[in-house]
Amino acid sequence: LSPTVVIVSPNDDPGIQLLKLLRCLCRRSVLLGDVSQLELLSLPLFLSPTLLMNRPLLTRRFAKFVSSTNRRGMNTVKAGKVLEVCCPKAIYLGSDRIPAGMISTTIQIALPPSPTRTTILDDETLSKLTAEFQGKLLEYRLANYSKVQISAVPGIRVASPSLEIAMNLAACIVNDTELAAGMISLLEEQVRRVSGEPGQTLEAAIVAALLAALHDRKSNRIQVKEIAALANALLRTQGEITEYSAEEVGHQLDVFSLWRTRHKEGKFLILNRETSRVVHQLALQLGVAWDVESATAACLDCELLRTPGGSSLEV
Amino acid sequence: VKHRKKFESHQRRTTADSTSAKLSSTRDLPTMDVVAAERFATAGDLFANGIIDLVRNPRDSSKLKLVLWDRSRAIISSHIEVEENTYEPVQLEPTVVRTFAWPTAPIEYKSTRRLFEEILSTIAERIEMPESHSRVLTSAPGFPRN
Repeated sequence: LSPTVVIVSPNDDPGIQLLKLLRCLCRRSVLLGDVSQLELLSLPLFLSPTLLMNRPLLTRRFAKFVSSTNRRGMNTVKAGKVLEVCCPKAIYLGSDRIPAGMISTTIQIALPPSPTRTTILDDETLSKLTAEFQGKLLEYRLANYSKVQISAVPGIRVASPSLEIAMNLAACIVNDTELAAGMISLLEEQVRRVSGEPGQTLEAAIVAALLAALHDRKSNRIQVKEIAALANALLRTQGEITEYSAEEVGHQLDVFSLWRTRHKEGKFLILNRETSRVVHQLALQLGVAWDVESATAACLDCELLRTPGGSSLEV
Repeated sequence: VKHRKKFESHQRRTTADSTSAKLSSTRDLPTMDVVAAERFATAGDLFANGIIDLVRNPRDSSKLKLVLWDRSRAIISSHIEVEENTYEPVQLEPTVVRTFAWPTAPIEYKSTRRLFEEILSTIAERIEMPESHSRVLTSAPGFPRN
């Protein structure tokens, strides 16, 4: 399994700098700007180069191609010829959403939205780094290629593509079992997120966003896209890099039985007493934390929670 | 990585190219007196007692050479001979050779831990990100999986 790294960052500078740095470090790497699936197939992919792509147009088909070509032996057909297409990839997406189909098959790297320092990598530095690390990694590869045994990593079972990636990365670290084992635990967090927690995370974020809107009381209605923006902002602060669409948030609101009404400006959730009651109940169910004491005194549901014996919100 | 193209099928020839190197299954160190049966263009090959890989020609950035590793030392040459076969770098578009990142020669890396730490600090010093991310990136790029 060849790894695909997806890099997201609200600022282009660190994202592109990282791609340039990866070119110094990755085997047979090439930086690609605007590139399509068809153009990729014109590259000598039999070399198994590392494709470093800056904000490619990730159509559904292209995303599927990226996800399905990370296994050795996977081929595709172009002009009647069978082409080897398995190769490592790093894709910088900017602040674009990672396509759902790519989440479980990729390593996701989120760069901080406000970096405290910016390093400009000039050509001379990049050349020096390339010469040094390409040479060292070549010697490492030559000396250790025959020692890389995927099955030799102890205590690992393959339960998901992410674990398989972790196993592959760990197996390539030769003569240092501690370092190899550390690689597994590093990717476990991602595996946990991929294997079922994102739904819960989104649910909690939507409820937290609605609580904030209810307590702000700036308006008596809120659009689904506003809820999505609030929920995504909250998730980003928790390290989440998946961006959820208004449609996905709308679907979750349906599950919560929070129905919207159509107005000429769009669909709105009315922030009335019934909505408040449901949202506060959901918050208790999902374990969403908020400060009941500092919530506005005008929130009757928070008032009920502050009142001893206020049980109407219990679930 | 295996990609071979046979140039001269079953055509025996004597190699007198002083820039070529040989890996023999019966001898540990490369020698020059070889009779090559076939010629292959390669992007890398693995043998019982050695490995071939591509390197950039330091004198011409649009051309490649081969490096032969015989488990004890590396030899760089435009031709490598292994078990009576001659290997040459696969022909690539000059723009591809110039644009891709290649090593020019192996460089001693001391130990796996030291190399890992060097790459980790190179990333961490230049790009701000959580350490867990930079550690994952350190192992992702260059270690031998292809």
